[in-house]
Amino acid sequence: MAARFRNRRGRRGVRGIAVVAGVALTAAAIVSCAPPSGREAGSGGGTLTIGMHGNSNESLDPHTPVSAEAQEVRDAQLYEGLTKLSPSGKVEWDLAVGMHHNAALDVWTVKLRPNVTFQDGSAFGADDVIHSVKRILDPKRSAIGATIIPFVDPNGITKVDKHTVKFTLKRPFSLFKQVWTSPYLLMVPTGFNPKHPVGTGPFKFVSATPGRSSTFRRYDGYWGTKPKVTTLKLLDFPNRQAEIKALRGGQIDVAAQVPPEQADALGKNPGIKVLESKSNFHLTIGMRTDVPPFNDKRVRNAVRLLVDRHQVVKNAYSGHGSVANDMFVRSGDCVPDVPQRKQNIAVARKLLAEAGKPHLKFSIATADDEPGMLAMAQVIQQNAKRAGVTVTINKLDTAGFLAKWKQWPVAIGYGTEPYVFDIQESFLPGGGNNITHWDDKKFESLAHKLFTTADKNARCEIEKQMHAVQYQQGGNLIPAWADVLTAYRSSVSGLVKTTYLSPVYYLTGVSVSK
Amino acid sequence: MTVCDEAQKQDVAGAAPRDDARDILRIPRRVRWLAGRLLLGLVTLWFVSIVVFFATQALPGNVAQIILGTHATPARLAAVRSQLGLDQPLLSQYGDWLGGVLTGDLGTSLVNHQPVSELLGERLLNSLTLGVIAMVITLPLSLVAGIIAARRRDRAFDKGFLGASMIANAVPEFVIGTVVVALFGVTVFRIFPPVSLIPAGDLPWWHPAALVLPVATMVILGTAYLSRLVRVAFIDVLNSEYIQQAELNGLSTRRILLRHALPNALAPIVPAASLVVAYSLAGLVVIEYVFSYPGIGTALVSAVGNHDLPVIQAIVLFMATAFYVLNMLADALSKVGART
Repeated sequence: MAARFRNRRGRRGVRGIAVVAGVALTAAAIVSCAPPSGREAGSGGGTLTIGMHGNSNESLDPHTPVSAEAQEVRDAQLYEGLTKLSPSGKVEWDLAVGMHHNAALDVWTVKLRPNVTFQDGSAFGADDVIHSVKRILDPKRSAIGATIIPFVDPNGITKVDKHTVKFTLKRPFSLFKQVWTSPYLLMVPTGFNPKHPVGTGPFKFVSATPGRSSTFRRYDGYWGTKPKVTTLKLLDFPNRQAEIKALRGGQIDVAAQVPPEQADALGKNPGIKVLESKSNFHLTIGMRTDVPPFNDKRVRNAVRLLVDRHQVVKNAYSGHGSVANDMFVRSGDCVPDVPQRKQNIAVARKLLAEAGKPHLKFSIATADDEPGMLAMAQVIQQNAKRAGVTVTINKLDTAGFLAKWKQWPVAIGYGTEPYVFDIQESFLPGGGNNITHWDDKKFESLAHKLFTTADKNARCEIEKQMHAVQYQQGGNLIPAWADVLTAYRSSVSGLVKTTYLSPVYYLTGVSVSK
Repeated sequence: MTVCDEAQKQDVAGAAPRDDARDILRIPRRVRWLAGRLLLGLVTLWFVSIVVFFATQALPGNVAQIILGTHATPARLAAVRSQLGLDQPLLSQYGDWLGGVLTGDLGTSLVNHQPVSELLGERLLNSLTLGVIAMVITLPLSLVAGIIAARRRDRAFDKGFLGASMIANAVPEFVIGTVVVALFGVTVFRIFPPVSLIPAGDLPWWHPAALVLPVATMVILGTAYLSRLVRVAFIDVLNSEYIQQAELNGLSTRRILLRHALPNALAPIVPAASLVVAYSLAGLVVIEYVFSYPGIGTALVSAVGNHDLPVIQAIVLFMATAFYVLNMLADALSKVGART
């Protein structure tokens, strides 16, 4: 028995040795596959990590058909345009330092910034601008930029000298300086290869995987204010919840945008702050002005009067916003002096009765990919009941919603652009974003006048008239402005409040203390 | 040597004992079974690819609209559709894809124009790592938990175990994932990263902390199901006469459980285990999404959102293959189990 016992101990011993050897071998195998040492070199002491809602359809080519915020934010670090929007929304010079036009406003001479180099060390000049603009306008690319500068003739761009380019336009266009602020009109070098993206921006490309992450490094040869951080990591998250979890877990420094209903709770966490930008971001309910019943302006205005706008701010934006007045501009000098539209059920009923639609019924089509979309539709549904109007909500996934884009009689859209882009995209016939099918002769003639007026003050007066036309009879109901909420760890400083673009576009002044 | 001689020689060789002849005949039957199953598998996969193709076509919206978003105009839509080859007849689109797959080319993603194999290779490794680690923990854990519960049947441990495992099975994956994150990631104990950020190009085991919470969630789900099966199988075996006989003979509990009960209980457990592995594949999609884990599950969710057909096809076919193989394994193991 004793011998047998010893024997079993012996067998166990052998088994034990085998297990230990197995573990050791596995460990050795894993260690041999360990990350190469020094791979993080250079990223310490100044890495800013930002989480965004990203998608695998994005690329680092700035001239594609894709419109996605994460891609725009990345492009804004690598590339620059001729002009740019400051955080407060002012139009400033970027790669251009001057633009001069002829009397007819259809020939523009652009003076470029000297001593600018691309991140590969090559000099930026007129040839690069001509190459970039032709690349944007190439119909095979279907780049979004092409829809923004349809007035530019690709064959009418000529090089005057190394730093001067002349644009001969198809038609006069007065807002030339404004239009080049678009994030879709960025400059790339001649011979640009999207696999090795090179621009003149403050950060240079290191690596990227679509829909997952990108790593950029500070470009020390940058002509402007150099970034404070050495490395910039932009991570994509499939949903905003994951972004918030990663911020709370300390995996990212900044969450680009958080839903308003979570912002307050998030801001109460120790070590997390929320930056609230009074932005131009808005949800709009577009009513098709070309089909009944909304081809009658009395019906459109009745719907606009049904809504309790304060309730929209409270319910859809959790109080992080302010009441809007059915116009596409939140503040500034060019806003017309018209009364703030308020809920008025009696007048709404009267208008509907006059239009012969006392029991109006309609359906609102909406996706749910921006905060507040569904909640806003629900507020309208509730408010409408008080006037005997029946509203149904047709909630779809993004693909289903886009499948009938511009066909829905009533749909929820969103935007945050300066008015120059809205005019072309949303209010002129054929515009990709013209969900209301707005085709108003008076408005069009004002737009034509705007594009052919050189004087800034005169243009401002025209813009006021355009806003007023839309206020009086347009197809858009814009109940409220939504603040853009950016959450960040308290180790981050230098994020700025913005008007049009989100704060994460402006990263050169941002630093991280670890 | 004549032909006749040759035949005679073969006859001599053929005059081996009858048992050997039966053995030789038995192998082809197994091969036939395997070949039949493989053929059926290929037909199933082909059928799956047709279903996925037409189901994706039936979804509202198309890739061109998704790419262009709100900037779509009829002319731009037509341009993008033609760039992507979506203006071709459906059958020819399907034929092109199938022809590619048969020659080993999974195609390129419609939305970012990268080869599907390149896009999914790394993600597949990430998912497999997650799945394998979870299973390596789940299988022995289920066995131990099931045996203890069976041994302590109707006592406090068993009742607690049954209740807990039923709750874990009844609750959807994302709820368990979210609770695990709240407990260990963001609210109560902040020990592990709540989101599995594995940088592109890195191997998943370079980031063990990122694996902990998704693995834990998978283990909870797998163990809750499998350990209940183990428990039932063991209770059946422990009630049998030979175990009672062994107890009467005075053998130790440990010896009874491990030497006598375990091999017999394994017969129903092993096929069930391979099914659990197969079902975990479906759970993987949800768990990866909850943790933003960069595997094929999150890739599938994103591809469906984008209607990126070649990527959807590749992932679904991989999952269907794995499912089929694991099912076949379960069948084979249960046959072996039934024979022994």
